[in-house]
Amino acid sequence: MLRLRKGRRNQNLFINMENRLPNYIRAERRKTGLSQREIGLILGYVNEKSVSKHELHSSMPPLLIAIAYSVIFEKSAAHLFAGLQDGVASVVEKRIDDLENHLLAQWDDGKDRSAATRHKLEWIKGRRRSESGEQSGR
Amino acid sequence: MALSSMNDRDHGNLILPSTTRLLGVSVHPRSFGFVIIENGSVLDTGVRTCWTPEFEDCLGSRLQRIVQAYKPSALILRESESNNSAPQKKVLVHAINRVASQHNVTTFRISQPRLRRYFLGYDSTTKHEIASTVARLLPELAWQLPRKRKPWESEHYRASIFDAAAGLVVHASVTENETKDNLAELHES
Repeated sequence: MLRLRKGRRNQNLFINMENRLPNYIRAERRKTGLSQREIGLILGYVNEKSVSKHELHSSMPPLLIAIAYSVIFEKSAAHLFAGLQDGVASVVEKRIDDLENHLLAQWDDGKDRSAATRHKLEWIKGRRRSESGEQSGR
Repeated sequence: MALSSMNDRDHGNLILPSTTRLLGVSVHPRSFGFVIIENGSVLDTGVRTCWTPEFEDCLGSRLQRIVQAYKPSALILRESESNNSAPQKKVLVHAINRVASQHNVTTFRISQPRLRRYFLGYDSTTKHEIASTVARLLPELAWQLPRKRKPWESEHYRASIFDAAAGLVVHASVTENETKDNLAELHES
């Protein structure tokens, strides 16, 4: 499970959101014609403040609320939080690259040539192949 | 992201942004209507009104909030119908231009004759017919379409949303044609 730790390391999760908006909650809500208060009531909030904060991206919805938004608007979380998805994806990919470099360095130095390390490196390579295949297929 | 950079590479010299957000604004003496579209679908609409004496600052800051939230690549402003339009409109247009230049947003103006000419192609001449055509082209707006007003009734406040959207539709069609021409030129060369 990916744990997004609080602190400086995750500050850069929210960069790279210039193209797509951090979230499309407001756009989806406007399509339905529902007010922030009505959405808030569906989500179990007592007023519209939290929904407003989520829409303006001044606070992030908890996981259960994010899933609830996804259920209400019948859209995937990746679509509703498109900008966040982009930001998180780019940071995660960068960290996987760093991990691969670290494992390769250990392999080359002869410090760790275990079957587990070989398996991890093959998984990273296979993951990259499937990702590039998906992109060329789009 | 990898996908957007791939898109850029695929188009060679013509770099198309993967996401284009456009802000359409229609100005009234003490209010403005706006529509935000992204890749052809409506993100947000609304009317902002200020009745304070410093209405241009008030409306300017409200527009600023919209620009900051959506970061549009261009602002499409509908020009007023005549030169004798209300002085408040001119003040407001000035405030809008100021906000746009502060945020490096390119402003395009859509003149009334150009807009009328464009919608003539859809057999739409009156304001209500144009709004109905816009609602057909952008179905997300359909539920907001005001009913046709009677001669003794004043205009519905949501009509300015459709004024702004009409300007956006004209601009988007012009841009689309230009892109097609650019692509055709690239293919020929």
